[in-house]
Amino acid sequence: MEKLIDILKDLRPDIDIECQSLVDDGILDSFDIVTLVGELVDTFSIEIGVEDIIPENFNSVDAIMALINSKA
Amino acid sequence: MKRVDRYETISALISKQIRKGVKTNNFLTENDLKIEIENNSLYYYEYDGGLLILRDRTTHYILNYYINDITKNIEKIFEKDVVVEIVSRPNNNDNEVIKYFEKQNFACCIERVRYAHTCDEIVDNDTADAIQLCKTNDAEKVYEILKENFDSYTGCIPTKERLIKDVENGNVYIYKDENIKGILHIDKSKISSEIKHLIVVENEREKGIATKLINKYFNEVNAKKKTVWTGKENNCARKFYEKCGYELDGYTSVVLKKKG
Repeated sequence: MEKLIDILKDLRPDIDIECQSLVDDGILDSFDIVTLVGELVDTFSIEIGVEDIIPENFNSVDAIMALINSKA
Repeated sequence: MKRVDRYETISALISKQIRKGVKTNNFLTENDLKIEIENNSLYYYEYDGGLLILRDRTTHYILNYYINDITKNIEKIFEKDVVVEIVSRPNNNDNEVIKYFEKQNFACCIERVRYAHTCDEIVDNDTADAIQLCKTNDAEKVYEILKENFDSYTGCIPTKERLIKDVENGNVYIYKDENIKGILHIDKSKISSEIKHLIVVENEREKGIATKLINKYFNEVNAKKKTVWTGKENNCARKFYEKCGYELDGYTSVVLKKKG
């Protein structure tokens, strides 16, 4: 979880990690998600497919963590 | 270059490319890719610098890329022209990728800017009874009008199959009395919405049809953020959107073309 939060803060220094609507509120855009996914693949040694890149998987720290865990 | 006949094939190829630092303009969803596969229009070319995904549009290919090594050149010679759009975020012009494609003999053909409309309160109810959701029996005519009025390479014209799906999903409005005089083609999700095409046919311009179409859109589509891309040099369109409350949001794009 801490690694993920570090990555998110690097990506968007002003990010509110409690936020439950990071994509819905436009805090993370498509470009952030592409960058984030690259970081996640590298950091957590997982594979992420196109079908995983949907807003629901990136709306909160918990959702992103759940995605990582499902790929581990 | 190979044609993709199964979604799993392209999904696996893309997964292999997604890693830290990859440069991509691929925001195609699983559904977008599946529609292309159904139509036999999706191809890929893998090289040691990355992966190219090509959507066949008869006269040309539209290119989506994953580039992991910009020192590697694309050696492939394509039998058709290839068009690629590189989008840059505000204050972050992706010059490195633009220069990479220029080195591969791509040349700039149009620059675009993006406008956003974030105002929740829409006060103008001036729309018209002639505006209706497009039905499938009008899809063919709508397709013809889009083809006549937008550039075949840079006008983001959907395939006929894609347009029919957009019609079925309620993403196409038309202004129609005896004939179709105006079209509003959109993309929408619960979060955001984008105007893909807004056109009034030539002899019906300057009668307020575009304004009525956009008012209908504002009144019916409830997305938090509404965006539209338009040509940087298209002053007429830019003035229209500004009048409708849109503001530049800093996103820009460059469309480059390589002769086949």
